[in-house]
Amino acid sequence: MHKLKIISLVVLIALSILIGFSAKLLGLLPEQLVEWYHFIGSFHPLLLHLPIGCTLLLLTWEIIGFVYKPYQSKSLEIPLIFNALTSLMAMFLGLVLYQTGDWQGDLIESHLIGGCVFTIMAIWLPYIYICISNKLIYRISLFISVITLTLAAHKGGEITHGDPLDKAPWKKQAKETTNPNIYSDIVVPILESKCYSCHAAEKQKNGLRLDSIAMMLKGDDLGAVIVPYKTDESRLTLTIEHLPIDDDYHMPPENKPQVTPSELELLKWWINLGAPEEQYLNDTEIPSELQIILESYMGSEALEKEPQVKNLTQLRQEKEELQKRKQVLDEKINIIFEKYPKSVEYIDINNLNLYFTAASFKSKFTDNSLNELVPIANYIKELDLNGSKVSEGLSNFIPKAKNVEIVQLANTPINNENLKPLAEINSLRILNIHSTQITDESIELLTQLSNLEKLYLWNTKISAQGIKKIQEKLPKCLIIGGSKEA
Amino acid sequence: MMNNNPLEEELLMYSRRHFFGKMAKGVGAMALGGMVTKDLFAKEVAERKLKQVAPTAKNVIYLFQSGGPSQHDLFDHKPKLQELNGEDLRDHIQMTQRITGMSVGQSKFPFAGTVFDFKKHGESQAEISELLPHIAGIADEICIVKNMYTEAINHDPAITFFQTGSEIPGRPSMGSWMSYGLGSLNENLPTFVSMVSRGSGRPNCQPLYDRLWGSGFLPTQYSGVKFMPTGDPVLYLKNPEGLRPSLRKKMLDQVNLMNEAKLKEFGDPEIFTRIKQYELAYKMQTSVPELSDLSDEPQHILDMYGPDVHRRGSYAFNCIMARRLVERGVRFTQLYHMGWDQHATLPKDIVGQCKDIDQPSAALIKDLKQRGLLDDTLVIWGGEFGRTAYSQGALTKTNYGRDHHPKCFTKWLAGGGIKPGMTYGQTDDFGYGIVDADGNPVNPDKHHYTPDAVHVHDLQATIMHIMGIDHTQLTYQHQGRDFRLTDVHGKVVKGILS
Repeated sequence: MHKLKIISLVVLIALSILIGFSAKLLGLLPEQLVEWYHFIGSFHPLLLHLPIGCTLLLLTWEIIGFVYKPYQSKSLEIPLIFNALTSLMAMFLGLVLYQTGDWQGDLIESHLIGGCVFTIMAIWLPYIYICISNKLIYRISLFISVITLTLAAHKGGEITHGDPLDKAPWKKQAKETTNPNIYSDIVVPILESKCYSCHAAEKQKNGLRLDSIAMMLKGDDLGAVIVPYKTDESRLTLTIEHLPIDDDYHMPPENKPQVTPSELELLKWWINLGAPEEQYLNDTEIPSELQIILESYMGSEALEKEPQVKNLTQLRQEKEELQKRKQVLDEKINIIFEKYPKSVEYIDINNLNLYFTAASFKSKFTDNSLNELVPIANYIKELDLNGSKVSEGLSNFIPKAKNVEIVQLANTPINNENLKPLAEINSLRILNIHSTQITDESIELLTQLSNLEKLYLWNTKISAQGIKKIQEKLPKCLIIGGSKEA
Repeated sequence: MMNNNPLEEELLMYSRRHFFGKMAKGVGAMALGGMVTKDLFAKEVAERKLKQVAPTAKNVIYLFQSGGPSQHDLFDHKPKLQELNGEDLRDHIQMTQRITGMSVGQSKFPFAGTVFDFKKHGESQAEISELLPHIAGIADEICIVKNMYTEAINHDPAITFFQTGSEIPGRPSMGSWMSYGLGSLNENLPTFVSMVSRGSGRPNCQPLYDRLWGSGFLPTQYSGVKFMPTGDPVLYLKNPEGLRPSLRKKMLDQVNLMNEAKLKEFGDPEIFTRIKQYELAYKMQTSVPELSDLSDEPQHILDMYGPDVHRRGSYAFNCIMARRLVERGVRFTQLYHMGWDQHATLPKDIVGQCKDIDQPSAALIKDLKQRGLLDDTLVIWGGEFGRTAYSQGALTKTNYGRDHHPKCFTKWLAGGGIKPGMTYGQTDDFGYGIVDADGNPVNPDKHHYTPDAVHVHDLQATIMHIMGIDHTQLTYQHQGRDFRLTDVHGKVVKGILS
């Protein structure tokens, strides 16, 4: 009887390995089979939960049995065989998935090996328990099994959902240091915004996915879309750069948001570096023409240089640099223009200071609209939101607009609470809050604005004594309007 | 056509037009789509020459007093004229200013001292006559420029000169230049609006022409839109009875498609203008009624502008409209108030004129100030020339008339970039010519910059400077050469800038 069981088990293993590696043995999978393999293989994520649960149950049993002798297990045959069979089926299905060729890369390989090792352990366990009945060896084997499980399962989880530890709160702060990973922090956001809608997990136009380096190397029916170190062979960038926009193969398609010139430069640079997955900005040499574009990723934005005596060459260099920075900023402004035309202009040509007005939109301009201005927030020197519907959105937006000098919030539904973020803005010179519901409660806040030169308070709820108080604390500030006049 | 820079758009269109002019028609099809890319003309879309200096104002309200207000009776107090009342001008001054055909027949040129009282007002001690009590109340906000001069002696050339920089019509108006150079801040309203008003002046006073806010040789999308004083503010804006807005929109979209196809084929910038105008007109169908509906104004604000504020076509109504336009980001607003051309019966007529404009002008400044808009708005008040020190027609104890006098006159400015509460420049004791601070006569000539006098071109250069434009750099090529608003003259008057 035992012999039969063992033989049938071995046959099962052999069969599954045969089928599992069928593609490797046959050569390329025929077209029709691919679809079937995809379908059948899609049950792998379903089935694998069974051996996981079962193995952990067995572990729990052993531990409790070890601590409380009365709970020691007597007949674990059924769960052990269940564990082995489901593990085998999961491995089989996983191998089927692997044959489709849609999953490649180091992560997949390590998950495959881990899973297979675990399955071998899962088959070994019932053998130990039933045939050899050595408790010690069983426990050691179980322990090794659990370790293998953890490693394999973690990799599996990473494939589907990314590293869960990335979302850990402590990790988050560490991530915001000024050393971004070129692939995940620079390249991925570009691909995410311009490509993933058609070439990622949910949709794979032309069978192409771009949401991992492995996928990009696998490519589509014509092969890989990136060739590390070689941008002139990488179709990812060739289709963006060298095809006319109305060409069928130009990417992104004509009617979709296009990749901007600076984004294209970044993609090409990454490919030239060898398309690395783990390379960090601070450790990489940055070519001079990308310095400016990458500045915004490094979190340091130098807006204006200190005025100094300069010679012609310096002036020329500065002018060129300004032009380049302007181009990058222009791209961001153009995106905003699509929804809010004629709302932004450069104050003058010598720097990148911006003036924003919601005059065209008035009541259609809300807190959500304010959020869309975040990409240009720290360039804004004058912010005109008169007549708009902003209120709470200021708490998120104002800290980002840390260089703003003139803020106009007249005729808005703001209250005393909404004004609070302004206290941090040292550059604020002029504040216009006429015709709002601001009361004496905000006097404390207003007196903190030490650089304020003009304050417009007509038609607010601030009292005459309130104005006196503010004037005392801010002697240099000109206060216009308010209940001291009619 | 993505950015807000009409200069860039214009240069792109302009270059394309020339490009096609030189090539065969068959090229047209491959034109705008891909081949004629931004790269090809990027070098020509040269560095923006605007805004080398940060602008101190974003909007202009030009309160144009059509007819030529008499500076002697309003701002330029000349006690000597009252002293020498009745004495012939030629006994005291050598007449260097040509006189008009109306005065040439006069046998006498008696000095006409003003019958009105002048007082000093405000901390700035500005001298303003009793005819303008409200403006006197805002004396500390305004900068009175007394040494303006021009060459034009008659109304049409003189107004054309102020608006377009040339006495001969055909050139773009100041508002069009600004619209061309700076673009618009509100896509629902025109960038340049003008409104005309009549008050107590005689009904057949000097006419005004639509070319005063026209775009001249600039593409017509930059021309000003005149708001009508009666009926619908903008003609042909309302949908006819029974036509739903959605249907109108559909129609406009189809028309735009056809226009765009033609534009692709041809590259004519006027098609582009037409597309833009249709789009703007559609948006104005909703924005203009909202703009001209004063029901959301609190009563005390309306009262500030005076009793005329509810009368469409009055100066007061136009003033409050100007403030509303500035609130909505309209760059250049021009008001014209007619009836200042008092050749006879001046003391009687000017009282009514001043009543028309005094309270609303002051209210406009006050209203802009309390809303925080005065910092960003340049307000200019004045006419096309001044009036003579001598009386045109018979001089009596209570009556005189004044003829046109280009040699010296007064304008006042307020708002963004202007030094408030000051008087700039002076004229001689007879109010006949400009003198410097020591009293020495200045014989200004537009061909040579004269620091103590402000020529029309100097004022235009200053207005542009305040808006952030270098007047020598904002040019347009036409008839084979570059044109600019200030022609080949003009210098920024630094003395009135804050």
